[in-house]
Amino acid sequence: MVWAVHEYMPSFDLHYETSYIAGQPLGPLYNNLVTLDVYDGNKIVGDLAERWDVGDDGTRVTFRLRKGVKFHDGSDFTCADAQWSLDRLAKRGNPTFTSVLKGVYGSSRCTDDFTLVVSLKQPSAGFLSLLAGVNAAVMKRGIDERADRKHPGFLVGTGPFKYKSHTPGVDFQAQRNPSYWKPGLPHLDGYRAVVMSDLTKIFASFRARQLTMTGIARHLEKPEADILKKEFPDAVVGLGPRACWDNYVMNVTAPPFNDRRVRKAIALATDREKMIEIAVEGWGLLGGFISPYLPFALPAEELKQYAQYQPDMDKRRAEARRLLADAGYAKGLTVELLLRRGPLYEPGALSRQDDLKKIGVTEKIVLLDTATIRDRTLKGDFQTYTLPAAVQYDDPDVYYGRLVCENASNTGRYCNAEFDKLYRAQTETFDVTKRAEITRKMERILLADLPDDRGYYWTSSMGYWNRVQKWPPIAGTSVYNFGKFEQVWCRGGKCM
Amino acid sequence: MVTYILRRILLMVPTLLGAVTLIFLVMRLLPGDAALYILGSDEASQLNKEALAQVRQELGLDHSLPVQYVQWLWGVVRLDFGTSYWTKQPVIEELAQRYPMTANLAVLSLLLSTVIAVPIGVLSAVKQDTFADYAARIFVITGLSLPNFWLAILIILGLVHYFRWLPPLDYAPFWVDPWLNVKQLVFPAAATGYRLSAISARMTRSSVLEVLRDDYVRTARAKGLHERAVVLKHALRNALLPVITITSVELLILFGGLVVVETVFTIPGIGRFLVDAIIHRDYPSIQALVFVFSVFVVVVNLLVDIIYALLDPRIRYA
Amino acid sequence: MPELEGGALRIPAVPVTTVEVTDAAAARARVVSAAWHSLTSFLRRKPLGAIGAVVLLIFVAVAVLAPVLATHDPDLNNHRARIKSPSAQHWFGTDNFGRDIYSRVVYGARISMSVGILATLLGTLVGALAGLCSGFFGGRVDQTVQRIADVMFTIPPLVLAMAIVTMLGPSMVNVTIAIAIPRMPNTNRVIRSAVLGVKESLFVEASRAVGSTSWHIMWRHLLPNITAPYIVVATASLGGAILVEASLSFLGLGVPPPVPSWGRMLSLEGMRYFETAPWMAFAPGVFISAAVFGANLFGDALRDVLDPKLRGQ
Repeated sequence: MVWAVHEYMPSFDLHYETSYIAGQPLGPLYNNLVTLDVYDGNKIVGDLAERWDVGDDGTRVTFRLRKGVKFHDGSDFTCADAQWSLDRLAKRGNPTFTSVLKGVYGSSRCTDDFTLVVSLKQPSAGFLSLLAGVNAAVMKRGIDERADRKHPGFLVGTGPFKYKSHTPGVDFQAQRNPSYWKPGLPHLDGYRAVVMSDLTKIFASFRARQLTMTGIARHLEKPEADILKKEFPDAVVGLGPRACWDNYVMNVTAPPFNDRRVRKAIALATDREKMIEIAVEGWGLLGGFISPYLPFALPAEELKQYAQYQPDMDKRRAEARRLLADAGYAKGLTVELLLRRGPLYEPGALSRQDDLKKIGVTEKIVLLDTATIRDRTLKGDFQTYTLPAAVQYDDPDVYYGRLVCENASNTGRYCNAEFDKLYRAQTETFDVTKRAEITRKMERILLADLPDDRGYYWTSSMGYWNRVQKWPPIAGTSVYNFGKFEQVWCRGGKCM
Repeated sequence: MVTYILRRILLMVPTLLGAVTLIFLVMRLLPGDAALYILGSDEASQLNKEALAQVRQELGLDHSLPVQYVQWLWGVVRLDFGTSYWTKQPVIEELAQRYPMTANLAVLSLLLSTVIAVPIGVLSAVKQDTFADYAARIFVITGLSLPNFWLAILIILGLVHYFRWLPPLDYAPFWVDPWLNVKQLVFPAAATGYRLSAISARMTRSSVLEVLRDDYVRTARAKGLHERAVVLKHALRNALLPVITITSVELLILFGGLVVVETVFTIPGIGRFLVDAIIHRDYPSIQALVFVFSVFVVVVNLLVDIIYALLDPRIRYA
Repeated sequence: MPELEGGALRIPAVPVTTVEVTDAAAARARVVSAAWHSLTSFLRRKPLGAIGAVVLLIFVAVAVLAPVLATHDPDLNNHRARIKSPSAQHWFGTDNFGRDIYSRVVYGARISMSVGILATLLGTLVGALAGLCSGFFGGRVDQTVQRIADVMFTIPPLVLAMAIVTMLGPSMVNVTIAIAIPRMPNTNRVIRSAVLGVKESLFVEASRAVGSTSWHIMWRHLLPNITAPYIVVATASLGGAILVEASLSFLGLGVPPPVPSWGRMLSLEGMRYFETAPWMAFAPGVFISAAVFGANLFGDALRDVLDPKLRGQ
């Protein structure tokens, strides 16, 4: 099983590296307490925890752990490892989930070797999804003191595969774990993630049968898929939703975007259908402020009632010009847009730039690399910027956490007390229907306030050879959670 | 002569120091921050400030510039280039790992280019302003006119489209598996070698033209020697002398080409490492690469000058 | 001391010996006729070079006349006419934004030509000035300038340009500067050696003997005699400058979008669609190669002509 990732991983620490470039190659080395059943609608099922109970008030979760599980170094898995991993995630994990986890995680203790009791600060509907994601891996207790997180010695897990070799900038290889605790699994002998930075090269290598998959839920675009369909009958094009969107963030603390009318004008003038055509050749979904395929999103019919989703572009532009004039920008307006460099990020932004020109808003594009754009957006040193945004957990906590006042990742500095109150309320609501009622209220607030503008939600797309069997259907977070190759096998033992 | 060589070696020190200082300043004045890169590289990453401060401290980025500069220089003196910010491996190991690949590619490129360039250059000079000269020069100038990334991508797409084949992903040194080695590197080498051959062919042509007008060639002709003998025995030998003087220029161009071609062909050499390092603000790696490369260029220049001085009696050094 | 004879391109005001010009008008007429004579003989003797010159002139004209030549707004999106093959309405087809490729290529000439020419001028003029001072004053000045050149010679031009653009941020001015800087040391060396050659010749000694100032000597005697090598090195540099611009665009460090640039059209937009819509990369690819080809042909021919050692018999 060989596939491409576009960069090499900065370290082996899954608690820390949220990027797919680490998550995909490292995920299959580990198990979590609970995991997602990728063959059954991403239901949360037990992994190292056989079962779990949530206490009556919702603040205590008791995990019954599996016995007889061994780490790759031969040692036994016990509750101490799970407790240590959870503590580390909440304390020194990556900011993305730490900021969400910190909000709810209190402490955990082992009542015996195979029982873990977690105390939460407040009931949390999203807690289990956090633990099911690729980054919440259970590691060997104290591993960070024995091995540097850049050293392969760090890679001690219980997962279906174990470390084989790593050449920075070239590839990462793993081999089958012969003593995996799930009998008979995995089927594959091993896998290899190859670093290729360029989509043209990835696709060429796939066609030359040097890759089994273009990428995991990545790295195939429409023009390339057309070639596959025409010339390669044994290639499969996998498509599905993806928890990633075109994000046009406006700095709401300074003119002109502190004026809601200006933000509304931007939203009205952005031609989303056109952007989907231009940027992703139709492989995109219209959506509001949360992935449209989630039950927590507003229904499509309601979303289309909003002026910025109406089909008549001329009417929308006229309205946008009127709003700009009201806000005192009758003569037009020039803003600076920070944009991450790269063929994946530019087309959408250029399409919006062309739209805004039609209502008298001139965007001056400043192309930056990731480090610089992150630096400036973090400091609030921008008027607008465009970066695709993604989540690793399809949970409202993660989508809306980044719009809560004072949150580290709330770069546009949007702040609405009512929204924050609803945020806390939905976190504590376990019933999906009731929770969705709250999140829909929140989305209505955002659709009126418009802290940012979202052109479209991406589609996951990948190419693979039809020798590959049991590849799971693609879901929103398949880029990170694809079942660790546990059940995947290849016809005739050949994957390409 | 010995004094000259000693003086040249002493002069290398300020040159290297200058190169290192220049790149140090260019990199440190960049907006953006290595620490931000280390914290995460995907769109999903977000940040908190304590983590940032901690990483800055780990990297020594919290020291002032002069302190960082002196620390680095002191490291160089002890041949310790520090640890890569990005891979956390000692830079010297990173270089050692990638160097053979690039050296292999460079040698193959130079070989290919010389094989193409010398005959073309000689032909073009001997038959100056004839059809053969024009054809040769159009070939050469085309090599100088095609963007090398374009040529590289065309080669890849051509191979895949017509043969559904690409150079294999695995690298084997020439002495282990020569056939695999050639299969893997001959196409990228062609992409860089073509441009290089254009430069050498040009130089060969002007050099041969110049020599052909020299007195001793006239004498040889006057002696009634066959034109071919004149060209091969007398002119070529002397004409190729100036060609070696452009070796350092070629090295610079070759390296620039390798940066692009290694990126396009995804060859894990030091060219691609440098692109990655610039993108990741991996200061120690960039500084080390520039330093090593400068040493290389300076030493090659020195050798070329010494060889030149030894071979050409007209050059005297006071 | 290079002596220019008939058949070579005579650069205006290249006196081999110091001639006191008494009649300015007559001198001008002489220069014009000499230039005309040189031009015709250049065309006759160096047809490839002439072709190169014509190609270059055409591209400069296209750049200047872009608004007249273009049939569409080069930046205007039209998602209903995306990725259309060449037709009567869109001569070179349309790209993934539905923009007219012909108009973009025509406007793209502005970026490639202006960045190429400006970077070449900036780089070679600064380099030449440094070389002039270095060669003329010698001693400390020479030492300092040459050590700086040594330093710059050890860093590959593309790498230096990448670092500079990353530092300054990609804009047209910054890209121009980044391409210009690595061009300096080479010009510096060429001009310095030309100056050294002239400096020792008798007429400078003679001038000095009659009490001329340094600046006067430099202006009157050196400048005219280094014009020929300067033109050769600058022309040779032009093709490279256009290519570096394209390479920077390929690496994502060129002039920011949506400004049409050939390098950008070729790499980012063109390669994605190379197999399904080859016309997207075809026009910019041909234009880039043709412009660089023209500059190189012209540069080569000029060198043949102006460098007496290479002149045909």
